[in-house]
Amino acid sequence: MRVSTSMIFDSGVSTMQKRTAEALKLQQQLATQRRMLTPSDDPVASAQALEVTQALNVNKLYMKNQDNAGDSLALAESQLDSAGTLLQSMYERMVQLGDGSLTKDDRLSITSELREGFKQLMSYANQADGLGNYLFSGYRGDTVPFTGDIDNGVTYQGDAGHRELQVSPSRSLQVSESGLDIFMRVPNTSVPFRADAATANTGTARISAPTVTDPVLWNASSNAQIYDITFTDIGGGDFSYDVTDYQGNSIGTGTYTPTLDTDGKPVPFQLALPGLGAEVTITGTPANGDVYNVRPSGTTDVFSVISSIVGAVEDPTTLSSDDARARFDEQLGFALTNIQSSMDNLLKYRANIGSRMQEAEQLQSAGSDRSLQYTTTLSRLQDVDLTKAISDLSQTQITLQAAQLSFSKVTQLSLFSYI
Amino acid sequence: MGASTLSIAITGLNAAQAGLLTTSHNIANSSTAGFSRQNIVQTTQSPYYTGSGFIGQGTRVLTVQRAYSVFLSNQLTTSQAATSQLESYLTQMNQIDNMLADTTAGLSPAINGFFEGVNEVAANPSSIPARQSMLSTAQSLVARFQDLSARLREIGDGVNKQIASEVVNINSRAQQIADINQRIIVAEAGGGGTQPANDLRDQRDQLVLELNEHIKTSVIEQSDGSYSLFFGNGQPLVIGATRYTLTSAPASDDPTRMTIGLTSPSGATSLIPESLVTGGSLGGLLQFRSESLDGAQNSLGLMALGVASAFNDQHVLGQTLTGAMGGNFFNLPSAVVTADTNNDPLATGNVSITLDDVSAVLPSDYSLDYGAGGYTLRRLSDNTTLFSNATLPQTVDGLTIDITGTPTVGDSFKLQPTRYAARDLSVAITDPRDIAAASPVTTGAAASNVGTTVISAGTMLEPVASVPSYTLNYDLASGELQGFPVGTTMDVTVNGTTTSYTIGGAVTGIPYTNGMTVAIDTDASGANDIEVKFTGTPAQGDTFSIGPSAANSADNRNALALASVQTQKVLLGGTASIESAYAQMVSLVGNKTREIGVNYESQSSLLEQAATAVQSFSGVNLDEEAANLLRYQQAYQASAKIIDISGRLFDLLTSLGN
Repeated sequence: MRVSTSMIFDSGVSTMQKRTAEALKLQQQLATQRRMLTPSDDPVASAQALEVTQALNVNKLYMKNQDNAGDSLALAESQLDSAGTLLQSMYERMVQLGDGSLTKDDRLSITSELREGFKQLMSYANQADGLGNYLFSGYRGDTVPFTGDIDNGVTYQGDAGHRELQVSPSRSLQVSESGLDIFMRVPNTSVPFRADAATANTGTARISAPTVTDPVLWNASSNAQIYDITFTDIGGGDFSYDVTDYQGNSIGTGTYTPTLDTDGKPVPFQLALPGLGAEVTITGTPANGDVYNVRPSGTTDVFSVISSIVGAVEDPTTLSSDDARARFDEQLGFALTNIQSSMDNLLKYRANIGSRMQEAEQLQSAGSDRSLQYTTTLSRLQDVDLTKAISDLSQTQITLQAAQLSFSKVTQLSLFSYI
Repeated sequence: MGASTLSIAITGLNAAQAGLLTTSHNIANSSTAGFSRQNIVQTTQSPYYTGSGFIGQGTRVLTVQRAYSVFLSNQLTTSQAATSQLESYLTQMNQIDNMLADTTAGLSPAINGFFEGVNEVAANPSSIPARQSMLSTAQSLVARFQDLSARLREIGDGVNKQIASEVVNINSRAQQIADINQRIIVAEAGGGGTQPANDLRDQRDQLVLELNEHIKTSVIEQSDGSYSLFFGNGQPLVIGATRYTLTSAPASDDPTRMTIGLTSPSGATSLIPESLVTGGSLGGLLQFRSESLDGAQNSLGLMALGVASAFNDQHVLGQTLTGAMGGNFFNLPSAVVTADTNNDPLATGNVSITLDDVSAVLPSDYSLDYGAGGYTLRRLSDNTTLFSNATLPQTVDGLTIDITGTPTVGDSFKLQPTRYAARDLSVAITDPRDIAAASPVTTGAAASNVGTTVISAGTMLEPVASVPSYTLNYDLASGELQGFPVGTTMDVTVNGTTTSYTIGGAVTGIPYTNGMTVAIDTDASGANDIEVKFTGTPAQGDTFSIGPSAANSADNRNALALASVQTQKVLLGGTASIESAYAQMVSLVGNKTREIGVNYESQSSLLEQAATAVQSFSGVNLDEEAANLLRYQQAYQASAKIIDISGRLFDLLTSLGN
């Protein structure tokens, strides 16, 4: 091939420029530690790196949420723990109330302790977090959840909501509990069903809570467990009674004759609820038209359990007679069962919170594993292979030096030097 | 004889001198761009006849010719046009590529920062500092969108300026070529029409090469030696000594875009479609603008639109800290409609665009033409006709296009739903309490309930003016949940089967099934507004409530839903989240830059080869010229020697008589 003089210069310069550009790029890669200086260096990896960065950041967010969730749950857990311990000690004091040898002053000193305990329990239930949001008021973080006092009863001002936090792509963790569930909706295990005299009643007959004789019949889903028993005076000291269900349909009738035993005490009468597997006990004489309501007793709240006992102990008529004494013992028994039920309920929510705390912790460790994995992927996608880059750089350097040397040699060749 | 020897010697002397001159010319121009080495073409003089045969009469120089190959020269100009096009495309593309290169400064960190703010509110829904920080992160997201869009617009402005300066360059080259054409015609005619004006032709070829750096042209050599240059598919640029003028002016359908026109010597200007301008840096600029810049701007706009629309849709379902229904969080950027400047100024057509479904929107501009048959809409990114000769309104690509007033037949409009969305995005909320972190619906089960039924916290499906209060109770006898006001319609879904109910007449409630989902239309709008789920077994008389939420709520349900917008696939037909749309854009830009870069590399090596081939054929080799110098010097010396010998011969003859 014919070679013109400018070709020697042009191609020499162009080769050296290419090598210099290579060296510059390697230098930049080494200086930034990044394999891709612009997306065009590796478009696929660049896009992947963005997606992985997003995943990494979202994971960080979830881990932050897990931290927040852990904090909120730990706070609630510690409150419930304290409330549980408190209820336990109140339970022990209430057991002491059953001791017949206690003097009135002894009992009053216990009730004053119970009053203090009640206030303490209120303060646990009204605890706020670091930001001033009440822990147990549901969504209504700025509302004091429990208001009232031991004498006038306590009402719940919050709602049934519970806050959640997104702690993983597929899991949103409940981080708060409603005080309604914990304190106000305690299963009334002492008397699952109750029978009450209607307030308009004028007779003296008392009615006992229903006794279940056949649980299968009584717990059938068609049984609403809501009945009214209405007495009608039919003359001659006899009363007819009519059992009606919640829709007002009569499901059975009978006759009751109040009698007295040899001691002059009323004889209890077993009144079976027809075909339902349960019976109630009637003692005493009803008046014409008196109604007694049989109802599921549903739930109670821990505050009213305590206040009812305190109220009863402080009422001077409570222990005025043997009869009243027996009634008090029965009431105390119910209250103790319900305090037990409250503690169980509390424990149930503590256990829920505990298992969520554990989940948050597990997610934390899974999250940091994932974080490590993403970081590794990101590094694989973005980071420069130092050994290779350094070796490439020295190679480019040698090639560039060779090009420079050969260029200066070749350009020195000229016939004009000899003529 | 003597006289003949002398005259032969003189022809040799002349020829050698011409050779020396040409060689000197070559040496002097060895580094002149576009110079083709020249050499003399020598031939013998016509011999004269004698009885002893033909006796030579010496030599003469036939012509000075340049080492020039039309084929190689064309190859060079073609490669030059292609390389310059790719080079200018690549230079522009690198700007976008570099803009997206920094992973810490792109859109990603801003999007992530914003959703971190949203999560902060989800964690502390009633905290004013958390809400303030969410507003600040939203502001920085908006600022990042505006910044990126401003940088893309700067690139666009730069393209406009460069188009104008390219046009000036092209016109100046064209003028010079036309001038040289004239000089060549005159020079070559003056030489009797036989001798080529080598140096002028070299200059002209060099100008054509330089012209092709700016625009690809085809050359036709006329019989008078002048060049005619054409671009596109036959648009004239130079015809002999006359030239046409390229002009640049804002486009009639979009004043922000420079377009190219061609003015003939008579002064008539015609618009040149961009597709006709290929090759050279001007072609590269136009290709960059239509292929990459438009797309990048529209993609960025689509992301801004996606964030705003998806976030707003969820935000309006929430409730603010003050207890009001959530408003728009972002001001939704509106689509830009530009009426063509050639439209009838008296026509009243006013086109409007409403966003229907952001996931169906494409990153493209549209052109709407009104003809005698009706409206025709073309999507410009892929040149698809979406409807033709139709009436408005029409809904396409997630947009509803409507018009008020009456345009004149022939009027056209350019619709840009996404182009300026990143620029126009802004945060609508200034008061941190206006962030709708709570849900306006609150449900509850009465504390006295005996059954195990749990009612889910309600979910808002559609924004409502206010959430009504319902108290529902379970009736064991009928197995129904009752208490909805008469006229309420709802859809009850059990195990995937949906049944609709309207309360009234014989329908007093909805049958209760464990696990049922109830979607209620609370405002008779035809769409369900609130959804709740019931699980468990209720007892007779159990009551449940659905009602409005209180203010100042620590409820974070809507904040959680807002936070999930980050990973929801809200764009491009539900295939991409906002961040993955950004990753797609980065990948697209990266791939395009790489593609152009690779093409440029290979094209410039072709150019190098073509230039080498031209240099190899036409370039000056100084060693060769040194040898030629010696050769002609020796021929000159030899011819001079002949004169010397001839003189001596003459002296010899004259001395004979002495």
